[in-house]
Order: sequence, then C-alpha cells, then structure tokens
Amino acid sequence: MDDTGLLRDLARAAREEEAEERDRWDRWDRLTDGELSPEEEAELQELAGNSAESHQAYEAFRPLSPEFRAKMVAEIGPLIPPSVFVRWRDAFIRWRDAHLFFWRAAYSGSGLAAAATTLILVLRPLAPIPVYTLAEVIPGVKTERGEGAALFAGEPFTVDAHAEKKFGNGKAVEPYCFVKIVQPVAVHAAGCSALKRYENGSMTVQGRLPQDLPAGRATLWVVIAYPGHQPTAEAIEASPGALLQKRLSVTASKEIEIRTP
Amino acid sequence: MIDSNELQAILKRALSGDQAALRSLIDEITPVIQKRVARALLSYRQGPSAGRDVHQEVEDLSQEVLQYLFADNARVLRRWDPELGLSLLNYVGFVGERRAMGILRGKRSPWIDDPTLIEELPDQPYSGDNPERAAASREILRLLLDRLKEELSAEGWHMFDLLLPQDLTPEEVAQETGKSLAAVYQWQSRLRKLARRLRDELSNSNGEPQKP
Repeated sequence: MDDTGLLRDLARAAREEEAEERDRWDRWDRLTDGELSPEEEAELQELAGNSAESHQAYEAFRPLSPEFRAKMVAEIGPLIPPSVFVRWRDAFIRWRDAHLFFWRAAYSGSGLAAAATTLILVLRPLAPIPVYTLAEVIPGVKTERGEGAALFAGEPFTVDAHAEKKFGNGKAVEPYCFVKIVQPVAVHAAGCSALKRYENGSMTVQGRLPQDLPAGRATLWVVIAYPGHQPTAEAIEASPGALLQKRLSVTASKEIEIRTP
Repeated sequence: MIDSNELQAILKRALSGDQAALRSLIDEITPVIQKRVARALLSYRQGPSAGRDVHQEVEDLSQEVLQYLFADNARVLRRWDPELGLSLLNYVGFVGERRAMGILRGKRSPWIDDPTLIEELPDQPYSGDNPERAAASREILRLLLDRLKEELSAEGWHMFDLLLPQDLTPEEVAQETGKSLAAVYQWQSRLRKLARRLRDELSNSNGEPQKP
C-alpha cells in the first residue's frame, strides 16, 4: 500500500473508531460526569447486575470518590511550590483578616480587650467561622437527583451547607462529616469534600455514608473547620445538642433515615 | 461546567501554588482522566489482572496519571499551550489515555499477543468486498492508530486529527492552529513518515517475541 493509501485508511479507521467509541461509552461517560437521570442510572445498575461486562463498566466509570480527590490534592499540593505572588497574597489575607478582627474588637470593646484580641490574633490569625445550616441531605452525587429519596449505607450523598453570614475565608475551610446513630449512640466518620464553593462561604458537600451503618434513624453532622481544628468523633458523640459552635470550627447536623439495601 | 477561559485561569493559579485553585483543577480534570483510563482499562483488561477490583484499578491508574501530570513541578501539565488549539481537558485526556495505555501495555502487549494479526498486514487498502479481510485490516489499522498515538505528542495527535480524520486543508489547519503553512506541511510529511515506519515495524516483527 502506498503512503497516501495508508494515511487515507488510517484517517478512516480513526473516524470509525471515534464514532464507535462515542456510541459505546456515551452513557458510561455520563455516569462519570454525574449527568445521568435517576432512571438512566437505575437502568445502568440493572444492566450491571445482569452481565459481567456491564458490571465491569459500571465499576470502572462510577465516579471516583471525593476522598480520592482530596487525597490527590493533599499529595500534589506539596509538589508545586507557591510563587512569590501567592506567598505575599496569603500573607496579606492573613494580615487583612487579623486587622479587621482587631478593629471590630477594638470598636466594640475596651482598649484592653483590643490588646488581648491582638495577642490572640498574633497566635491564631484565622477568621472565625460563621454558623452554617444544612439543607436536605439527598442521595446521589448531584443535587438534581431529587429530594426525599432513601439514603443507603455505603452510598453517596450530597448536602448544601449555607453560611449564615458572608464568610470571605470560605476557601480555607474544609467539610468533615460524621454519622451519629441514635440508638445505641455511636459516631462513624464519613468521607466527604466540598463539591462546589460559593463566594459567600457556602458550599455543596458531597460524601459517602459508611458501609457498616445499621438501618434506622441517625443524624448527619457536617463540620466546617480549618484543617486541624475539626472536632473528634468522640466530641460529637459526647455532644447533646445538634450544633457545636467554635471559633475555628462549626458543626451543623441533619436528621436522616438510613436504609440497608 | 466551567468554561475554558475560567479553567485556564484556574490552571494558572494552581501552578503558582494556590491550593484552592489546585482543588478546583483536580475536581475538573479527574472525571476526564477517569473516563480515558476506564476506556483503556476495559479495552486491555485480560489475563490475571481481570480478577482485580476494577474500580480500584481505575483509581490506581488515575492516581498514576495525576502524579505524572504534576511531577517535577507539573512539568507535563505546563507543556500545554492554548495557542495550539487543543483544549486543556483534551490535552489532559490525551496524556491520561496514553499514560494508561503505556502502563497497561507494560503488562500485556497486543503486538505480540496475536501474531496472526501481524501476518495479515494488508498490502492493499481495505475495502468492504471481503468482510473477513476487512475486519482483519481494520484491526491492524487500529493497532497502527494506537502506536501512532503512543509515538505522537499531544500536539502531533492534534495535527493528525485535523489533517486526516477531519480532512482539513493545510491552509485551514494553519488558520486553526496559528502555525505557518510551511510548519503544517512539515507536520504532514512527518506524519506520513511516521505512519510508514510504524507499518514497516509491524510488518517486520513477524510476531516474534519482543522485549517488554
């Protein structure tokens, strides 16, 4: 075959391959992108239950967990040294937050209080976190999945956490999730991360319920905290209320009903 | 979904060490990598590895691709140039697919697994007259395409796509990529030579075992 013929055939093969790949993987791609309707996803799950090949495809394309992405960020972050600009910008943000906090304290209290506040700020220059409230906890990886559906152990969930006051430092905090079983009381950590962050500090939190949860009533606790300042599972277990409000971490909870498949 | 300009701005911030931007970037590129990795894995998955947990395997491969993109201060990711006309997500997808194929092929080589394919390398353009022969030819051309993808850079694959499957004229490609016409002709010649070399390598291997 001459070169022109070979290239022509290669071009044709590439076009055919692209069209076949598109047809073959379209629905699976949309599963990864979280774009399937609940009906379409149920259909794929049924398909996966009926054939080994579809089961493999379902497993390969179901979205990687938020914990995986968080792990990659933690792993990759140190590989990229911050530029001079970023170092100065972060220093400026810390200074600005401390400065604002100082003047608010000075304005509303005595000079002594301001001096004390300054000392605190030098030691802990992080802006305090406002109260967060949780919207309905919904199953699935996207908010379009529909509310009111059952939450199953081991399955993903999504919940919006609204900052009650504008919180400029929203990108510096992370969500941490726990499930508190009502009877007998037990707390399980649930992996979660911020799927989307909004300008006012609110965020859409996505996570996965632990596998070993018993069916029944429970509460989902979402802690918004500066990394390293989140409460422990023991603190949540010991808390009688539904809200743990601290300066560097705030916790909101929502009642949920766990079902087992 | 965020637009390409916004994504480019996020990339720039992430590569200057902004952790929030890095988080956004990982959120955007992970599904693209996962899809390419999943396709490659399901296409090559055979033998002893077929018993492994597929989701875990996709996660492992995606992790390898992300590490590869960001290693050495994100050397591979920094190579992306928006001026070449390939979107960032396409670039990441291309790199991810090639990396995954390379890793998977390290375990199993389709070039040596089915020597009969090599014996049937066509010396005539394939046509639909003989369905069996056409199928064999198609399979060989797919192998050639895979090899081409392995050999070419992201830019080279983009040039191949524009010049051949999309069948654009050199003038149109020059306009699309911002390259000079002479550079496009150079690419055309380079692609022709590469295709010929790969075909000859395939013909000459005669199914003999190769070093992994």
